[in-house]
Amino acid sequence: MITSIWAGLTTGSIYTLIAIGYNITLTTAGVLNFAFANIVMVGAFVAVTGIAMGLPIWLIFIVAAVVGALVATAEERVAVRFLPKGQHAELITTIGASTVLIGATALIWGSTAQRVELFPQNPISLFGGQVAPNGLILLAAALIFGLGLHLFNTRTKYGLASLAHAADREATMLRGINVRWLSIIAFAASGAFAGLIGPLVGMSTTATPFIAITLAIKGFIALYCGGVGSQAGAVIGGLGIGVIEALANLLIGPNYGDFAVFAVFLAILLIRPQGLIGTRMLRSV
Amino acid sequence: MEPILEVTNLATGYGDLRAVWDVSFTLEAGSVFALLGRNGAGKTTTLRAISGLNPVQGGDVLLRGQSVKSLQPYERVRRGIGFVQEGKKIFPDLSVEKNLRLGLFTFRGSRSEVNERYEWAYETFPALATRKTRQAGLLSGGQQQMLAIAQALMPQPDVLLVDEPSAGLAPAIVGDVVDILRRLRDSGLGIVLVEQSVDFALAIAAKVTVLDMGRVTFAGATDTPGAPDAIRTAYMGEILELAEAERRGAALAE
Amino acid sequence: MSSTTQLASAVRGTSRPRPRFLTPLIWIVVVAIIAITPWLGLSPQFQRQIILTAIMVLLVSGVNLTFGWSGELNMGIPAMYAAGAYVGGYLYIHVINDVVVGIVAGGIAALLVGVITGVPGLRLGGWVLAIVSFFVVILIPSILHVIPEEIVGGSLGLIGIPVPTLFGIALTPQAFFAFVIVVTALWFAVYRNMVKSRVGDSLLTMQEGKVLAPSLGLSSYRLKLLAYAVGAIPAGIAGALYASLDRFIGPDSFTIELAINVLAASIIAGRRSIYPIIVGAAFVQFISVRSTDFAEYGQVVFGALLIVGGIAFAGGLAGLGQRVWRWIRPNRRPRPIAASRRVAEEADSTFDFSSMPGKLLSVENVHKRFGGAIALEDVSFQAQPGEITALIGPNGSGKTTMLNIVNGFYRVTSGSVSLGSEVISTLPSSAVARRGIARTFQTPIVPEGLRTVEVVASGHIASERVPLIATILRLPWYSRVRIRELAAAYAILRQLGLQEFADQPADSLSLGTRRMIELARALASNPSVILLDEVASGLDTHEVVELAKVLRTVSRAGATVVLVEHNFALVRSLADRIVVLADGQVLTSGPPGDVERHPEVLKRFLGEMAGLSGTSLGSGVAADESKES
Repeated sequence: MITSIWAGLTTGSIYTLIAIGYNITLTTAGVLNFAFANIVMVGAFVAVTGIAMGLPIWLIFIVAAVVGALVATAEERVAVRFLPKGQHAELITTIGASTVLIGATALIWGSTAQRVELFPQNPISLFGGQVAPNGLILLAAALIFGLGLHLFNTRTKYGLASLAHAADREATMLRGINVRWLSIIAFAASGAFAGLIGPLVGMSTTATPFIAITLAIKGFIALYCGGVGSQAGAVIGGLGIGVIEALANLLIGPNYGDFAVFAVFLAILLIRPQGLIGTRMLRSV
Repeated sequence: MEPILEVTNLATGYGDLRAVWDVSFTLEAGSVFALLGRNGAGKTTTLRAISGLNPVQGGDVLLRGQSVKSLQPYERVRRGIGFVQEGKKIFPDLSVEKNLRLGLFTFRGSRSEVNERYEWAYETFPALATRKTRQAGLLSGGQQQMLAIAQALMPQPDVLLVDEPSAGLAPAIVGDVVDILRRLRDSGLGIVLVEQSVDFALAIAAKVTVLDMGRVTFAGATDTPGAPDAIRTAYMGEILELAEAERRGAALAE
Repeated sequence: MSSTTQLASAVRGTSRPRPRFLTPLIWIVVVAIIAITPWLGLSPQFQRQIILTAIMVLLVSGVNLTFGWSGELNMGIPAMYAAGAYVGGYLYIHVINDVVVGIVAGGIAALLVGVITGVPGLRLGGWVLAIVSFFVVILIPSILHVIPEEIVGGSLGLIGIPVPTLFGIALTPQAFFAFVIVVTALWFAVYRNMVKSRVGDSLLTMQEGKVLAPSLGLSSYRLKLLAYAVGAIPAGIAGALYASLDRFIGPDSFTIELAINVLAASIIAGRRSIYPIIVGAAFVQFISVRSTDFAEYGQVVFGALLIVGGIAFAGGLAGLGQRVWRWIRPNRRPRPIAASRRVAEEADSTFDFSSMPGKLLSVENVHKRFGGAIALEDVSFQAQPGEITALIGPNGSGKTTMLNIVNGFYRVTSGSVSLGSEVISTLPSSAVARRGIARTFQTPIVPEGLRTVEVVASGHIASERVPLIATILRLPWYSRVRIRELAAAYAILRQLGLQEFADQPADSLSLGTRRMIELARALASNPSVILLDEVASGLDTHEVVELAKVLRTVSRAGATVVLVEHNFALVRSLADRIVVLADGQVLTSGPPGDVERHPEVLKRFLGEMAGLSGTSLGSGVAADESKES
């Protein structure tokens, strides 16, 4: 059972990291980037190639982050920059970007799942259950990045500018802040983040183009349940969903994990639409 | 004296729509220029064009002799044009202190210069000093207006555009706002003031232009003896004409 | 041909009076030709492709209904498709092997799935609904695992679906082909009749924002749910047809990829388009049928199309087609819905201004707080039928808040608003509108995609409900109501001098004209009370004079007219009674003569100072002392 919980925390960490990624562009550029999980997969694939080429681990992470940043910036310049206001435009274009990435990664790396093995995964015994080392790293990453970005938003000048921009774009412009750059930087940062965690995520999920959509959806659910815009909420939402999913699969039966997550999502929708911690609601388009 | 801000034959609007035709004025440092008119006359649109939020569709805007009409809003702010938008625009979810900090985003100065700016802000607006960590959205209307003005002034602009600062404020608070603007004027700031209240404008402005439906119906100094009357006529002139037309129209419909 | 027949044909949405039977005749001929192609030598491979395209057409029409017309992105089409397929398949194997029963059952199953999964997300809309529906598609394999294998065949799929049978006769592949074509064509007609109708106009109105539809008495939520639910049905029909096609269905057919393909087809065609759906569906079907390699290129292509579609291709092929058409024939005036105008002219009816059902509007002790801020304090006044009552006050005085309270957009903190003897301050805004309160907005809200006459007619839609069936089948009931509605709209436009704009797209007209159109729309609902929010602003002198004439006529006809205004002169000459608001309270009220002499009013509202020599406000310093020279 404890092993299941560890497994749940591992997948939950992945959901959290995706939710955190969503928050980066959401709070700064006001855009929820459905293709974020796809960029994570790109990072995973970069790791596959890197391992095949025999690159040192630290270099793989850097290259993945850079590639991720480039992809995300390209997405911003092509798909997001010109968005007309309202009516689901951003949803469609980011789904479109996601589809392009699925096709592109399948073309470049093939559509079969590929293992990412940066370092050996001998299970560790902890608190009465088994967990892969990568699971612990993912968990640590989720907590560290969640906390880090929360502090960034609240303590730094740039975090402040992001919060302001999300609240009132014009007023932010009038403070002398170049909001166009803000948007580009937010995307690049989210892309670099995606690339960076890509190899780690890939170690747990294998590198597959198609899994990105499932991750994107569950990441959104984690984001929503925790509270849109809140990094702390992302942590709680993601880990919570991961554990619930794992326990449901264990205790009720395989396939029930997804049902349980769905049920939780619906419950939050109906009972507490602003999320557990959040105060903002996603602008209803 | 060299004007610090010159607006020449300005035409502006929203997208394809033209809202303002041919507005011209100059602003010297240490003086107040008032733009008056009814709702929808184009006063706010003019300010927005000066600050860069609306496109300049004709004419020019010169800051210290240099054209700024193709600069983005953030660039104009960095060059010294501050804008206090109508409606007490501050960031309600952030604290007073963070609001001021945002104002200083582009301020280039040493640690001590930065601290000086904060000190200046709290000295000039004592109501804010006692509420540094209060969430801005919880301040009273008058305090929010003070914060909006302070925020715009943090980077020490040379020109301040102020849009209807008296709107929705109790008369006593309005007096405070008039005082503050007067003091700022006296310390060398050039102020473009937009107001609906002729009162307010006449209290501190040296020059006035009245807009109606995007066009100038009066422009001149306020201290000449006939000025207040001329202003009032211009302000309401269209109104009086309309009343006549009404009566004629009513007679026809009978 | 009688004028009613002409009008009836015009009501179908064609822009020139045609013989009533012509369009259906063309349809029947075309569909028949397509249906018999197998017997004319169409190869089985092509037959299959066309059937799959027809299925795609059904799916895309569903997306168009939920996305284009209801305004919500529903990615769950594969789930409803699956529901139709499995229910159909199960029925065919275990219960009754009849294709008609199958598609009906499939449609109902899809409807249930759609509503159950859609309702929680519909209120929140946007991303939430999209994600919920996406998730349902992901759940499909799990659901199929959980339901016993005997029923759905688990992950291997449902096998052994028998040969399709219609009324006991087994269908040959060619006959099945014809059946599919006929069913698709029938559903297509249903789709077309639904969206090119009052219902379609209501949906466009609903999409224009949160305030317009309720102010016309339409319930946004109900309309949204309706389009969403109806959009599920074709997916179910498609599923049941698919079950008979290969006589096997498996979870691999109901994937996210399908959802994205259908969305791409909808974008290509234009999300509110009708006939271009066929082109979009064919294109997507063509690409996705290739080998796996090409399928990956296909993915990239679709993704790119979605990106482009989200940005530029707002109207899809349909929009592009319109633009090309306009470029070819640039100066064509839009063809009028001529017949109804002819009726209006023939009958020589002017809008019946002789009597309007005005009622007393009373506001009693209304207080309104927003959080800590007091917007209105103890406001009371009455607006009498047959009179024009003006509500004036400077910025921030609370007059727009008061208007929104009367309308039902805001709730009172305390106090009440009554219409006649009925308290309306507890009613939702669409109910208030149906009680007879119409309003115009500071910035005119005019939906895109509608002609002026249709916009005006939309004011009347809520007053006369016609069941969806009558709309879809174009029963005489629908035609009668629609003819009357359009004729009344034309008449109102003539009365207001706007007839030249009647057939033009309303959203491209000037501000002043749009304001008058809003007034026309308000009149179309035959209201008891008309609320006008700064209706004169932005109008030139001539337009204001015209407006004043209309308002006087309307009020003399018995309606209760309430003007919220800045323009004191207009108010002075027009209003029978003026209520002055300042700082959320009633400063004074009475006939214009009294109010304009009130000293407070002069000072506050007109900004005059007593004596004009100038005194500074707060600091008591004379103005001339403080000014620079």
